[in-house]
Amino acid sequence: MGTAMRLLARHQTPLLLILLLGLIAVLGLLGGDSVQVTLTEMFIRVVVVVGLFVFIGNSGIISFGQVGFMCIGAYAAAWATAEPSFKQIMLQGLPVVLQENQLPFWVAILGAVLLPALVAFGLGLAIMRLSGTAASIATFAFLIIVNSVYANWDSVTAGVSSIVGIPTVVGPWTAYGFSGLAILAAYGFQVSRVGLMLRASRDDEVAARACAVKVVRMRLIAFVLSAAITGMGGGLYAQFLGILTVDPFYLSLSFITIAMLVVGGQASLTGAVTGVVAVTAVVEVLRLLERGITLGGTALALPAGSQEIGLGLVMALILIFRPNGLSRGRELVLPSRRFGFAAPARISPRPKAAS
Amino acid sequence: MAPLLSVENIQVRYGDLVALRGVSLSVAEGEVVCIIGPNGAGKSTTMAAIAGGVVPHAGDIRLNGASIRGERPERIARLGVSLVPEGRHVFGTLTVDENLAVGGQLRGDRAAARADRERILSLLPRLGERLNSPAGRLSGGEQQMLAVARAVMTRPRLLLVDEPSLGLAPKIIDQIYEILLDLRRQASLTLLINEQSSTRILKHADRISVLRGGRIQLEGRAADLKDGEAIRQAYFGFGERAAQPAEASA
Amino acid sequence: MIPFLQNLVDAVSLGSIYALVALGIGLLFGILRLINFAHGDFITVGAYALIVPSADVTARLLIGGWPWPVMIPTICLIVIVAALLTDALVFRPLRRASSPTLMIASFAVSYIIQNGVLMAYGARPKAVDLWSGANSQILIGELRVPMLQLVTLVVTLVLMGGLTLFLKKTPYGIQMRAAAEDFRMAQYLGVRGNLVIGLAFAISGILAGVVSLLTTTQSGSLSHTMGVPLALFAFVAVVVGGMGSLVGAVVGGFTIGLIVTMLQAYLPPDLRAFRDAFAFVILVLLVRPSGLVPARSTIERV
Repeated sequence: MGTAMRLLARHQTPLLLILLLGLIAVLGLLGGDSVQVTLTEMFIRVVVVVGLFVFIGNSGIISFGQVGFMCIGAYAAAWATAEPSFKQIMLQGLPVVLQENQLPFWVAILGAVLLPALVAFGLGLAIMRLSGTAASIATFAFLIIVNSVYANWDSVTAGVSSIVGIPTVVGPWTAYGFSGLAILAAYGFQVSRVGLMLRASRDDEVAARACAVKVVRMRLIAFVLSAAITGMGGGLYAQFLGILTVDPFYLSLSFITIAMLVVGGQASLTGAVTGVVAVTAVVEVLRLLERGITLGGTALALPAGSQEIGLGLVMALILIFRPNGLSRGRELVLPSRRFGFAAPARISPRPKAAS
Repeated sequence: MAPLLSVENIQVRYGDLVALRGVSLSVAEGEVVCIIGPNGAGKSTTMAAIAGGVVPHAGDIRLNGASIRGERPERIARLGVSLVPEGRHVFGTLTVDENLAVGGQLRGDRAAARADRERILSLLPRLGERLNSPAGRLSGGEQQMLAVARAVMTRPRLLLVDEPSLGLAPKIIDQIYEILLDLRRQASLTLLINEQSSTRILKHADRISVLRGGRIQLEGRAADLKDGEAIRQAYFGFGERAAQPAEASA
Repeated sequence: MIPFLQNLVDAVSLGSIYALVALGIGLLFGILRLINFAHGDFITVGAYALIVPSADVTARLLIGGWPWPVMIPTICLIVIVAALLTDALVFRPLRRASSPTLMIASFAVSYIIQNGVLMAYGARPKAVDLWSGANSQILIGELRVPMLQLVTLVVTLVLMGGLTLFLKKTPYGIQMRAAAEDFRMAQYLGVRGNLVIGLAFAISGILAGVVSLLTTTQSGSLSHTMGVPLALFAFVAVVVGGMGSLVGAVVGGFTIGLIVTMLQAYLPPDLRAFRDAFAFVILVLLVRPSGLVPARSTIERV
């Protein structure tokens, strides 16, 4: 068995996760158009939730604001690729270069990564020195600010009306590719020195307090990376829908993405990915039930809103009965000993028992 | 008759860390029992387990023969066990008087609680002078006295005192012990005291247990252990006991 | 001078609302280390309890039509019950959970309540006229003060005074303060943890109920997300005030009322849409790690 094999075994988690998602994508090929749409959306959410995980999972601080970065990323992408004719009429506040040109997809994604990262850097400088709870509230305030600014800054965001004419280039396979990229980036971070130290600080508050300056810096790095990945998710979302408004990037989406992370288990990358898959499945089933099914001649349908309430209940139940989520805070590894003595990189200390 | 308190082979784990590996001890009505042991021996954990702050994974704790294992701390307090924790934990923003009131609240009989308050304050005139100042402004010794007074206000049958001398000057420690013994005589208290060193406690205690590494290493009547050699051996793990290798934590 | 004073009156009245909300949130945070996202939704529940449950566009008053000496306690009672229910169903099973876990759980509760209201009452905002005399104005010198603002201020002062008396003078109040400072130690002294927490939920329920009446009278409309902005500003008030200090929460609430009102009055018109954004930026800059009024007792966990 060569070094390559051992390396592969050591870092099997992200590969297994990508494989798992690939399997789902292949199965999805059998479904119709609506399945394709659901799948694409799911993969984009994998990107977003993995982005969320990079900050929340590694630092232990809840951020309600990452959806704000998604919004910033989505608009950045739209600015790059929306129809010039539309931009010249509706978005006259944009720089002329953007107004007059329709830039390629990769530029859009680049913008969707860089702009949120930049904003996160500035915001992070201001709030990462706060205590965990205060920082969480500040991220919540940030979400409201983003929403308020993007809903009112008519000359660059078209205000409450929508931006149209964004090329819909993102399908299930593109989204899948990017979700793989996000998983690799997140994994790379959590096994990096900064990631390991940050996780150690999450689990040991005494140590965290002892080197406060370092912790603030490490949190900032995680926050920026998280914003970049989440922003990328936003960019993909814009290029998937083709039409963009501010509304979706608000409390509901913030709740759903956090619910995904919590259901899967916020302490592990595996949790982030499985959470998206599991919650998507639950939501789809509830949506189906809301539309109604016929059982032996009688039509049964849940009232509208059951989907949301159901998701809320699922999350509350998970918190109460399985606080470390479906993954129990562990990473996915193959059970067999085929890979020999190379143990997978141990990145997560066992979840602590409540004491 | 069952002893007032009996701790039967309790084990406590914090995650992967084993704090107590089977601790047993008993305290009879009216006794003064002292647990001595080095830092990290499990003394505070033992007391927290008795007071309901941590639930042992195995073993049992009985008060007058009835199990109190797994009961909530407030219930155990109402059964007559009061804890003066290590580090005192007075309510710093509450006044001295309010701290005492929190201790007195579980008593049904208001008049008796008031009488106790007067009696305690007569023993501790320094607290009486500072009734209306926030407890956080008291000196360390005064805070320790307040913590004791507050615990006594619950009118316990068993008072658990965790390292009363920690961080205090010798003169103050003597005063604290004087007060504890005074209170014991007046309120017919039973005392279980944790200490790191046996020097002071030997003359006050009826019985002594030495705790190290989450196990009781030695147990005996204080009178029999006067010369201190056995205690030293148990405390530091010299001699034959040290030959037993410490078990690695799981 | 007069316009400025007029603005100041507005600021104080808006600030009182934020202060009341912040008190409710601060109280629970002090004892449970819970930032209760659902507090805003308690306010929503109180407001919707005023009308007949239906998805119709026009709202018909139910409890809102009762004489106010009956209506006010009933609304408060309903909100108290809602608050105690969330405690019993969600937060009690999570007593040993960490602060972030509690926060997420309250986020879930908030989501459930909002969508429950949506399910029962429909998505459209509803117009409600609770007290038509609310906008009659009283002249104080040259100042015109709307009746409602005066009532708001008086109610706020009464509630704050009452809460202060309760916390300082009654045995339960003293136990609550003790529990807020050191919950475990209070339990070791026999203070019943669940009782104290229940009391805190009940008091925050009363505060939320009163706020729902005040804001509904003020705005004349209901929506299933009406509590969210109130709660958000109040969270920030709690943080600005130093987390864990009730005085700080009140100061924070009034500070926010002042900032928001003054921005509304003095920002150039085309920037007014960004009022809240500016307010938050100012507040984030205001926040020091320990807040305006650092709590002496609470050292917040990292």
